[in-house]
Amino acid sequence: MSGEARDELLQRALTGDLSAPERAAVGDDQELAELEELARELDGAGARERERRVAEARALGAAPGEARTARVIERIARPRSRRVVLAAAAAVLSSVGLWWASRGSDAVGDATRIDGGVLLSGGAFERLALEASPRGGVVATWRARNPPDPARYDVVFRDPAGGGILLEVRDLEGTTWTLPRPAVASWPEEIRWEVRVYDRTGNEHGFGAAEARLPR
Amino acid sequence: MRIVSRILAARNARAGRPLTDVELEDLTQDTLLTIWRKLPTYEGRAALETWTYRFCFLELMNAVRRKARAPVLLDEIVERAAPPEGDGGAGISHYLRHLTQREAQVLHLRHVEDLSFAEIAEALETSASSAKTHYYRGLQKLRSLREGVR
Repeated sequence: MSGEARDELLQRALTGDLSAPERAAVGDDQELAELEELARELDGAGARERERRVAEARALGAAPGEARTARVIERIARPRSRRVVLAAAAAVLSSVGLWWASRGSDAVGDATRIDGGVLLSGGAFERLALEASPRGGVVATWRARNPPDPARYDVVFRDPAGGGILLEVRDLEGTTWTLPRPAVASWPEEIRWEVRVYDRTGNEHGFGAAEARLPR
Repeated sequence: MRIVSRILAARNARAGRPLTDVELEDLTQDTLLTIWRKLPTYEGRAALETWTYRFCFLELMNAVRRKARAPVLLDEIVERAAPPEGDGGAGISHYLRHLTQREAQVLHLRHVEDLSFAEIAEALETSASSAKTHYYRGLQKLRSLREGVR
């Protein structure tokens, strides 16, 4: 075997490009064994380095957005409360109502056309907007008419075709949410989204929903 | 999962803060979503927190690259992210300082950041075969150095 062919064989063995039978055919090769041992050492050193970095990160104070992230995760991970079940039931009922109101012609019932989307229901909100983020995602922004202070918001994004939930975020303090770029890439061109506003005790103060084209 | 935002903040700081706090918040959401989707592939061979590190690095690297629209910042990330010299014989920099910059980058991305060759190629804006060649040359160089010491 020429030096070049041998190098190619060793390279393929070390980069995972040899099948098991091919590797077995190479047999005991001193040079390859030494290189594999070296790669294992590097793997070990790399793993220790990753652990060191994670430990370093763990020791850090709170990172930007950590509180918001933690709230969302806790809310999603928590078993569904009675309030969420009731909210889901209300959403189903309001969907039926909306369908009833908007069936037939192009009319949208008493819905108001706002910000390029159609406000399907809920006078509690005066603005529901989807805008392209300069960083590649989509920013959802909402404004309630008379929100409680402090206010909390639950936002649900749905596929308008079947009503299936694409993403839901709960217990937000702010009035904007950036849709994750990887998720948006796979979403339909038009989505339906709903916002509910609550006071600090969890009482719902209003609901708004819109269907809008996703800015790309 | 708070560790995700902390890893991103720590690595961003080590890289010279190429992302703002607002951009980091967005990136945290993106990274959490990625990890959520990849969770079924977690085999338990490392602690869950350590397993998430790989995705944090990948997302940060891609975000910086998108923002800078240039691969040069990646080089800075990899270089600055490497531990300081003199961290003891077991540290990875002990090995990598003997190599060319590109060989060191490939070995670093492979063994420390735990990337596949396809991911390394994307990061370095080269082909997978070129990444593999640099990897092989780097390993051979380290082996020769070890032989010389013996």
